[in-house]
Amino acid sequence: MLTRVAGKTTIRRLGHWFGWLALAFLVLTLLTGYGITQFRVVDPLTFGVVGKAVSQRWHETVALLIVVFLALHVSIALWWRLRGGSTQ
Amino acid sequence: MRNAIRIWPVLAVLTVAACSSGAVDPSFEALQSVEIREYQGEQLSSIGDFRENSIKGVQHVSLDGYRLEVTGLVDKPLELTYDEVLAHSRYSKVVTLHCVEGWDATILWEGVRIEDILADAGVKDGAPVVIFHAVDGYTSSLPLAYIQANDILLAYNMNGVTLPAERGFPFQVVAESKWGYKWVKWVDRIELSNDTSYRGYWEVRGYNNDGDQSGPIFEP
Repeated sequence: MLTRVAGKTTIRRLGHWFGWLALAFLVLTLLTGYGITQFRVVDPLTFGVVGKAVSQRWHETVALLIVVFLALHVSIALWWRLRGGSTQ
Repeated sequence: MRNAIRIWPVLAVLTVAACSSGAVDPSFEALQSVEIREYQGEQLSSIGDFRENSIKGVQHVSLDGYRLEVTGLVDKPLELTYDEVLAHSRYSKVVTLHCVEGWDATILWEGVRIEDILADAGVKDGAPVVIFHAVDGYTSSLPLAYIQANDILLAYNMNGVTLPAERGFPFQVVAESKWGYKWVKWVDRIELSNDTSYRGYWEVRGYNNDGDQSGPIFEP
């Protein structure tokens, strides 16, 4: 029984982390989006790491990752709620 | 309360995204000239439909002292004034520019054939690469065979009006069927080269040297 409760908690914690990852990828999507069109600003701000070509390569990938992690985050939250768990 | 604290980064990011998506370039000014918006039944884009994505911002080129140089592997290097370039036979055609950023613009371009200018200079054997240099240091290259086979233009007019500074005055390469980064603006030098490994500004940074719209955007 104790193991079962710990498992639920771990899944709930994972759900939180998926949410934060989705947010991180959202920020990265915005950054790479600006990196494509506003490369004269983003390139020097990131010390040349996020240039136009790099931005364009990353942009679509990170957008997909947002969807994946957001879906996981919402799914786990709903599952938790339906199982009668606390929102905290 | 904890939930409220957790949600603020999300709201902040979404607010920034929403506010910035509608940003207007404050430097944009309406053009005075009347441009053609339809040509032989085909709807044309507006000159204002382009996005400003040059490497160092808009270049304002004065014709005082401007020369279009033709250098490299040529029999007779040239330094042509704006009027001397326009003294060549003029051609026009409707071509769509496709940018790797996802937008495009269909324009009636008017210009001179690059091949005609190169013929004046006399291209030496073994010069398969044509490198275009712009006043801001931007460069890109095209194969000589492509330029000759497709009547590639060096444009001075778009939609019936002189190229504005924002669009590359005095001259822009109309590299049809190539991605926008091959359409060099503010051209001030054309160099004939035998360096088939030459890479221009964006090509060095990962974009495909072929620049074909039908091919991959990035170098394999």
